[in-house]
Amino acid sequence: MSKERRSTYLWAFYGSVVVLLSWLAIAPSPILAQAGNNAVFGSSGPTGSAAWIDASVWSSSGDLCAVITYILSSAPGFPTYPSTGAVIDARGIVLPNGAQQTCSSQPWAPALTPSGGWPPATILLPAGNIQIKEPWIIPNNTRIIGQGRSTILIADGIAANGDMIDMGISGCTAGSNISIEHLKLFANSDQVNGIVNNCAQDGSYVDDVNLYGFGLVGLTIGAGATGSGPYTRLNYDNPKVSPGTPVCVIIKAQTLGLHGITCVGNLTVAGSPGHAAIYLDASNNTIEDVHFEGFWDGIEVGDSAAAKGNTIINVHGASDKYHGNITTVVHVCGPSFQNAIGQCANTNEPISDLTILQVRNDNGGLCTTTVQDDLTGTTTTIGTVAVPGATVGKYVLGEPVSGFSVPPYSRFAIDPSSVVAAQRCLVNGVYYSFNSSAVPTWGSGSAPLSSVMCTTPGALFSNTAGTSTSNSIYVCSGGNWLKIFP
Amino acid sequence: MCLAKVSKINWVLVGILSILVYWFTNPSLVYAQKGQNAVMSGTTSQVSSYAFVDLTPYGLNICQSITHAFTDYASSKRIVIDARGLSGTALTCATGDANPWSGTSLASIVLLPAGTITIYNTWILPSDTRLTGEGPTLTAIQAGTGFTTSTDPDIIDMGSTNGICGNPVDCQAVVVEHLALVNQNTSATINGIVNCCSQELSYVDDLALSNITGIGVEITGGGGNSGPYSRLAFSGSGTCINISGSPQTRGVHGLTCFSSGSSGALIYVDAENNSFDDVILQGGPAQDGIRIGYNSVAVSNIFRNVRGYGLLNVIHIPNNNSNVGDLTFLGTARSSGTNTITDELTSLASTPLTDANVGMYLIGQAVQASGSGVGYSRFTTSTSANFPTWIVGPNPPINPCATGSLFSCNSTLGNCVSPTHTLWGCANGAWSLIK
Repeated sequence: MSKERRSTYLWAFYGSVVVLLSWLAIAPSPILAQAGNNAVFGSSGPTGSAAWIDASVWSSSGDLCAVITYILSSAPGFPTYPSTGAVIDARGIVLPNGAQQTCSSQPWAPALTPSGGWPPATILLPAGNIQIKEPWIIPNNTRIIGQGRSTILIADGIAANGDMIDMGISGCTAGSNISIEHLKLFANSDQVNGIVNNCAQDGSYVDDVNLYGFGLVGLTIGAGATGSGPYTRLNYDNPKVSPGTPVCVIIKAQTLGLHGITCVGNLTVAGSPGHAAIYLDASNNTIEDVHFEGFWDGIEVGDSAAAKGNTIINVHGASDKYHGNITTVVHVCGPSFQNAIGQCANTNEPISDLTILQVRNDNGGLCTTTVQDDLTGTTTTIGTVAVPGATVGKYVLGEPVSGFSVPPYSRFAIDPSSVVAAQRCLVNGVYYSFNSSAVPTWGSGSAPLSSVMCTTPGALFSNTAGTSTSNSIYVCSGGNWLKIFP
Repeated sequence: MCLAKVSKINWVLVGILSILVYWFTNPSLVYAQKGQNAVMSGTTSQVSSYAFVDLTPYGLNICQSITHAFTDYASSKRIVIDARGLSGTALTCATGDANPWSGTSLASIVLLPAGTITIYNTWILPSDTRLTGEGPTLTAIQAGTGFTTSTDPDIIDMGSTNGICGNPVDCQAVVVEHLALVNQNTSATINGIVNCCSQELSYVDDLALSNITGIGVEITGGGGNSGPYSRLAFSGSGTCINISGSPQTRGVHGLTCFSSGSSGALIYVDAENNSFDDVILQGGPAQDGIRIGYNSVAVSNIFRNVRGYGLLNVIHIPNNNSNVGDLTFLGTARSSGTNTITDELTSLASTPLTDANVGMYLIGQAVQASGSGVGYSRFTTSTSANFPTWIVGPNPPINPCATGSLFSCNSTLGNCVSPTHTLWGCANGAWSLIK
């Protein structure tokens, strides 16, 4: 081959390569893929799918919140965010073990709000420690989903009495659709609240959230949050030594219920009357499947507002050496309180039509009780050292009966709680006498009771084997079972 | 320039250009780690993301792939494993494949594929593990023929006493959802899920249990404060649910239980403070639906909306006042079978309630007379014989009646007030005026 001919071949080869590279560099993609989109195979190789936007493309270890903000606001260098919303997957932002992801500002910083407001989003947070220095104020149509307890939002310098998460921008209303799921909030010695919902309503809920180390309120459902919920699978916990005055939940609106929660306080609130894990200051709520440790009261009903038509089911109060006892598992606020177990902040709120089912006091202490009803001055079964586990099967409080200076209430209780001898209980350095109340109920059996003693005045007893009016139905009166027929 | 030198330069240039061409066409392969997802970093370029790890590239069966992914990413704090790309023979684990979580403490979310996953050893889930299927009709974990029952007869264990849950034993945040557990080895006694050790934030949701010969869901003392156990469907010859050892749970909410067994109960409740609601039970004519407090203390439980088919007793309460008390039944129904509620504590076993529907049945505690128990506080809306109730009506009552019942005549006109006939009691099967 001549030298000239070889040269011609080389130049032809170089030219072909250059043309190929130029084509690869400048040719348009068959479908205009966007950075962060998932890569899926199309007819001509990988292309972008808008199924989700992976935030790790812009930050493998930087400011997580800033990246979310930029994505949501279509900042320069970021793709145009769909106005109808998208899934933002931040799970690919990986931090070394022990390292922390710092969010200097919240993802929905007011100063950066798009002209049309924040668009809808489902945000998948990564596992790891995410330090937040200001409250996250979550706008409508936003879902925050973590990876379970491994996703930890840590308060880091949030102003005292501030919140870690607010559900809804001030003024939000129906159709809010804000949810928080599968993550942990850690107060980290900040005197902050956990989740506060003052206005998010329909479609707004909290599920599978661990609230840890709060010296203030874990979950607040404000008066404007009507119709929100359910609030499910929650765990409010504190370390062995924890400061502050923990409050597990405050409910000030009708919700879709609180279903499944453990509340663990500290020795401060376990040792001082009036401190409750849950303040139920609203009407028409269901609270069920609850476990308490380390608060004076488990649930206070009507502490600072009216509370009508509520249902409380399956509540368990227990003790823990690091966090303390529960003194009263369910406390109905009212004027006829017992000094030995304290009073609510307010004693004259309208409370009625309350159903309480399956309450258990497992403290085993003599100065503890299962249900304390300050409206009727009733103390149900009190704890005993010998046999812990005092229970109340059913306690239904109806409405006050008019015409009395101290109105009685329609009421039905299933337990024939007889009066237990007075105990001496030390409260705030003072000894008070404490005894349980007689709670009339209706029993049945197959034996006559003539001229035998009873301890629950007003109680009824039916003898299913009765043969006449003299031995079929009895009333407990004057310390004896007496036939009820004339 | 000599010809040989020109040729060398040419080949170097060709090599560089080849690399560039390869880079343009396959950029993600340069940086990706095994199984990581590819996301677009530009219009045509991709980078890897640790958002999840897809098991497809491992080329192994699902048990081995999960194990290898834990090993590959052992330095991470957590891992999301997406196994949904696996199918066919990759869903059958080898008989010698151990529990995939046996060597890891990583927090993990494992997304299981549609299909039947066959395993031969128990999957023991440590703290912070979420096992998520595509739905109970699509994703099944099957205990294959030859499943090792000698060491552990459970398909899934939520935690273990083997040390993975610490001391005291307390695993947390163990979740199983949206899948089915199937027993292929029906000649052996195999359980579905056993929670011995997982407590707060641990729950089961949307789970089917098929051909279970042992216990479908068993919760023992270390499973306190776990739950809820919701949207469960059981079929098999074994027991649907057994709660024992005094754990208070967040309840069982939504259960359909079809038993092919011939004795015993479909549900055993031997623990305190549990709530059951929305339950359908179908079993044999000698079986109980729910048996409460037969083996240990089971006070302060509540059952709402329970319906039974073909059973001897939908609800069975023993005559053991140290085990039972403060029980609430709301909305108990018997569509077929013999008895609705057999309460041996407050009435004779020979006088069960057989009403098709019992709106309310409450048992409290012993009633004392001169210091001795003479009966139990009880209230029911049933009007059957031997079960006194309180009836309200606008006219005086008509015989017969259940001895011990009360009747309030509530009209302000007619026979209630002229003369005044307001409160009646039933004595020896006939109404008598009290006031």
